[in-house]
Parts: sequence; C-alpha cells; structure tokens
Amino acid sequence: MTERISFESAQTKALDVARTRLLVGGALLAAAFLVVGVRLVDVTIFSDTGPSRQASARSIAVEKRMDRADILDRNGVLLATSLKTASLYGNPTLIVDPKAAARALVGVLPELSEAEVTQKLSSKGEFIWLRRHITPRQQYEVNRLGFPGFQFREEERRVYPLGSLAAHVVGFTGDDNDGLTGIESSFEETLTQRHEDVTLSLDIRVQQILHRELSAQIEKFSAIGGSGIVFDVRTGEVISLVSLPNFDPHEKRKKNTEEAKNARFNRTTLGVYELGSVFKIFNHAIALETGAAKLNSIYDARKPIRAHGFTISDFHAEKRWLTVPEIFTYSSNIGSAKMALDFGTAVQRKFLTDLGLMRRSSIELPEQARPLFPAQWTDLSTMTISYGHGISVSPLHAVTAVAAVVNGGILLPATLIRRDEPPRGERVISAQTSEAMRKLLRLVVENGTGRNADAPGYLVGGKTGTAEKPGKGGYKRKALISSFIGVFPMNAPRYVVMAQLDEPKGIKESYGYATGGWTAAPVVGKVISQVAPLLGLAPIDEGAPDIQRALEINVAASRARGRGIATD
Amino acid sequence: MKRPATLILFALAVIAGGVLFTIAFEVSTLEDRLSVLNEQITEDRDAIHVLRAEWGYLNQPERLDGLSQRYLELQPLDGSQLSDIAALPARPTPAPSTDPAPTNTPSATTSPAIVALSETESPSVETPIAAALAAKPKLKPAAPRRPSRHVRLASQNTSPKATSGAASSDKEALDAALRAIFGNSARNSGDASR
Repeated sequence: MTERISFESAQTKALDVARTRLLVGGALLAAAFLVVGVRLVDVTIFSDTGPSRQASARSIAVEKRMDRADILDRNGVLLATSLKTASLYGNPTLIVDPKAAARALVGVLPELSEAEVTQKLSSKGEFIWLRRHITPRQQYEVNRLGFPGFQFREEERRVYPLGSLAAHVVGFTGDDNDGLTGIESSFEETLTQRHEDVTLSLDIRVQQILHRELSAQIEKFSAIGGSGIVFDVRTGEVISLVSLPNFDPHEKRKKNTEEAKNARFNRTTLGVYELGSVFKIFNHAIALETGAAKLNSIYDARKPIRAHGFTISDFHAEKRWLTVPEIFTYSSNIGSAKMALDFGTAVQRKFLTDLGLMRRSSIELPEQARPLFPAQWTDLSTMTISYGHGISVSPLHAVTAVAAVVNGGILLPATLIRRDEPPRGERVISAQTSEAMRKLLRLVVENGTGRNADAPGYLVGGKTGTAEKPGKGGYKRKALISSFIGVFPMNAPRYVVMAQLDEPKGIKESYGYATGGWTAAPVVGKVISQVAPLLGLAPIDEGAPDIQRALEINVAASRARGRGIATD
Repeated sequence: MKRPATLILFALAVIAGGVLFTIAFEVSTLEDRLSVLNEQITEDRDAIHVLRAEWGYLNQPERLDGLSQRYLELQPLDGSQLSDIAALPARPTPAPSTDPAPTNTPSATTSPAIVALSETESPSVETPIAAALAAKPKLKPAAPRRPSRHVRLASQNTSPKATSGAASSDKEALDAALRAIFGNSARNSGDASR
C-alpha cells in the first residue's frame, strides 16, 4: 500500500511539476498576448498621433514653403517675396565636344562668354554653374539645344516687386539668399527659421508721395541727394522713409562703383548731419521745461556773440531785443545761444540724452550710426549745439525726438514694424512744455521761416534748419544741408514729416536761396496735403475759434505776427 | 453536413478575396488621383505665388501714377473734398409725390440702374457699380422698408442733374426704354406682387 502510495505520489509529483511548468509557460504567453493586445488597442483606438499624422501628410499636399518668407507693408502690399527660378549648370562628363556646346549655349545666352564656358565645360567633375536664375524662355531654349550636359536646378530668387521704392528699408539678399542689408538682414531669423512674414510699418502710398515730391525738389534745386521721413507721433512707427538717390535691389552687387555705394547709403539712419536750426526745437523745449526761460523772456540779440575766437551771429539779424517766440520764428542763433547758457551744459547734456540724441536709435536696421558730439563739452559747445552745430545726428534721431516734443512729452522708440498698440514710452518733458512748443512750431509756419510748408486745413507747424557742411578747415559756405521738420495737425499732432536736401543750389524762384525754408519746407507742405487724406485726417477749419485759442500765444505773439519775414 | 459548410466557407473566401482586390484597386486609383491633385495644388500654389509677385509689380505706385495721368482725368484727393456726416446740411423733406407709394419689389430696386443707363446715354463703366449700389441695400434683411426709399431718393437726386430741363419728355423716353427692355414685365411684376 505504502509502495503504491509512494508510487502514486511520485507520479503526482511529476504531474504537478509539469502542470506548474505549463502554467508558468502559459502565463508568460498570456502576458505576451496581453501586451500585444493592449498595444493593439492603444495604437488603433487611443493613440492618433503617429500613424494618422503620416496619413494626413500623405493625403494633403504639404504647403511647400519658400526658404524666405515675405516682407509686407502695413496694408499687406508685397515688398519682397521669393520665386522659384531655374539655374543652369553643366555636367562636363556628359559633354563630348565642349567647344560646340559652348558655341550653341552662347547663341542662346549671349551674355555668357564662349571662352569661359568652353573652359568650364572642359573641367573635371560633374557639376559647374553656368548661369544662375534664367528665365523660363531661356530655359526652354537651352533645352531645345538638346545637349544632355546642360541641366537645371530649381533655385529660389528674391524678388522686390516695387523695385527701388523702399529699397533702403527692405534691403536685399546675396547670391545665396541671405539677407545682406535692411530688414532682410535684421529679420533673417524670422524670415528663414520661423518662416514668418514681416509686416512693416511703412505705408507704400505715403512712401511713393514722399519719394515723388522729394525727387522733384532734388532735381529742381540740383541737390546731390535728399531724404525724408514720415513718423507717427502716437506709436513711434515710421510710415515712410526715403533716401535719395536710391537703388534697384535686384542689381545690388553688380557694380561696386562710388555711385552705387552712394545710392545704397541710407541717409536717414546711417548718415549723421549737423541739422542746424532744427535743434532750436530742443533748445527751446529745454529752456521752457527747466524754467530757464519763459515765453515772455527777452534776450539781447543786438550784436553777435564773440567767444573763444568764434563769432555767433544771426543769418537774418534783427539787431534788437527778442522774445522767446521771436528767437524761434526768426531762428536767432544769438538768442538761442544765450538761452542755452542760461540752463547750462549739464542740463543740455541730460535732456539731449533723454531725447535719445546721444545713442543709437531703436530702429530695426543694421545701417545706423551713432550721433557725433563733442568729447569735451565746453560752454562754446553748449552755445553752438543750441542752434544745431557741433552735434551730428541722423535725421531719424531728430524726427523721433521732435515727435516726443510735440506728442505731450513722451519719447517713443522708433520702429519699422507695424505696432498695433502704442508702446509705453518715457516722459522727457512735461505736457505744458509740449503744448507751448506746439504753438511755437505753428508760429514758424504761420509767420516765420517755414511758411512754404503750409498745407491749408492741416495746421502744419515746423522748423527750418540750414547748416553748412563741414569741409577742410571749417565750414563750406556753399554746401548746405537744408532741412525742414514739420508736424501736423498742430492742435493734436499725429505725424512728423521731415525733408532734407543735400547741397541744394539756389535758383531764381527762391531768389538764390537754398535754405531749408525754400527747399525742404515746400516738400513737407506738398507731402502733407496729399498724405493727410490718405491717412484719414480730415482738414480742420483753421479759423475756428477753439483752434485759434488752442494755438494762441499770449506774449509777444502779436508782435511776431506783425512783422513776419525772414528766410532762415 | 460537411460539404455545405466547406462550400460556404470557400464562397466566403472567394468573396472576401474579391472585395479585398476591389478595395485595393480602388485605393490605388484614389492614391494616383491624390498624387495628381497634390501635384496640381502645388503647381497652383506656385502659380498664385508668381501671380502675387506680378500683381505687386504691376501695382507699383509709380506705374499707376503714370497710367492714371495718361488715361484718367482724376486728380489727387484734396483735403477740401473731405467732409463728415455732421457737416452735411439737414436732409430736405421729400416733396409729396403723385406716384403711388414705392413698393418693395424688384421693379423699384432695379429702376435706378436703368435710369443711370438711359440717362448717361452711353453705356458707361459706372453702370454696373450703380446697379450694385442700388442692389446692395436689398441685401440687408433688417430693414426691408427703407431700401426702397433710399433708392427712390437716389433716382430723384440723379435725374434732375442729368436731364436738366426737359424732364417730362425724358420720363417718357425712360418709360419707353423700360417697356422695350422688360416688355412691361417690370411694371407688371410690381403690380402683380401687390
């Protein structure tokens, strides 16, 4: 019995072992199947990322993006885009007779030199550029030659539909489609890495008007160049920026002559100039802000100031005591210098720094220059800087600062990118000073040196500036930089319009004068009268009592109004 | 018992195979079509891109300036041409009219376009615009009564300017033109709907 039992138990043992093994094996298999099952459910039902993305990529044509995104103006007008073009290359291994092939090719593309092509086609290797960016017609004709050694590669080419109109702002790209100047260069990453279109603050209609008027004036006064800016005083946006002569961005690097370099030079941001009397805007603002002078203060402008061997005199000397508004409207250097001495060097320096006239501009262009100012700021510097000599800033610097003076005293960083809401600026002068300055600026156009800038209904205000260009050992009397900075409408400023001419020559119509009031001011007036309706500004009844009251100057204004002559 | 089951299974297998084949065939046709369409889309996109650039090129302000100076008698907008609603004088009360009250039917809304057509005497480019302007208020469902009045006013305003004097004879001419164009249907449809 025991034996049998033991036998049985041995059998059972073996069975048990087998069963356990089976169970373990089965469990493993079951677990494996479970994993597969779970994964199956996961993949088919829950997870819709991987496979379905693949499916959708296959079902919809993926938008093939160009390597560089577009550049647009504020209204969406195309300023720069990329197009596919064919580029011709040769495969010398497939060319049997380089000479014949070269002759045939030059027959189709006459701008190529036969010898050069022959030499290229005789070289070793399988790839050599023959001509990049050819037209579809040329491509067809090359294909018709029937040489297997001529092949094409699709390339991208930057196209600027508006040509030279905004060339200084938009810039251009090099042969390998990399931005070399302007927005093309400063927004390289946005355009190529993120593929985002760049919308500028420029309005191409305004740009065209400014360009047209400025070039007409340059021709009229035989100037060697000029520049102009339209600037929104509420947002800091640059609405238009023109620098003449300009260039065709498609022909950028063809020639590297002096002339081509001069055309590529951006006068509005890269050029720094002594702007002359335009600086009296800042001088007066500082004097009124610090209380060094009031509107009814008077200064002795009877005789020129002599200091450190220099003589400061007036262009159109009144030779009498002048009130602060008169110093502004007659553009008296003597009066301005005396006002500057009243508040002193340190104050002048601080305010000019606050107004952004001592540092680089915030504009998004690589082509920009730092202002030039004296390292040793003496009393003489203070006096000359008061009327805009001895300090050189770019026109954009001046425009940005003038916008701060008239918009209530807030300095807004200048930008070329459309802003949908105004940025937070820094207060540089008080609202009261700003209001007084608006009145003074209006007075200049109403009765002073800037009358040629008037545009009926738009309450233009502004300041002329005429500076002699520095030359060897002093200033050149005949080479002038004539500017006008205008603001409109003066009761509630919206835009600053600046025009500047480089070396205008006096003509009969201007009685031989080539000053800012005769050359640059008319440009501003014409531009404002055409641009204001486009920008949605309705004309104002200038005689309306509330407008008159808003721009009235209590002190001495009547006296200034009574006379009103002066050229600059 | 065994044979029918085998037969059924065999039939099912054949059907399944056939269906599979058809579907596979269909899918491959669709995929071919898809790739053709994708290619077309890409081509069209490229073409649109090129056309946009060309549109920009043709719209160069300088070029438009030249064209407008050569072909149009338009001048740059002047500030004095702008005004706002508040500056307009009050609307004069419409003179009592002997005509039956204006209806809201097509006859009332289409007539100004015809007025413009017949009174300018030459079929000018402006006519479609005038028609569009006249038709536009009709699209507004909120105020169904008002459009007809606007339109009537518009036609009243334009007629004295263009006819200048011989109003009655022109009116007859207009009626004749209307009859000629619509064969009385314009008038009739207006009456019928009322």
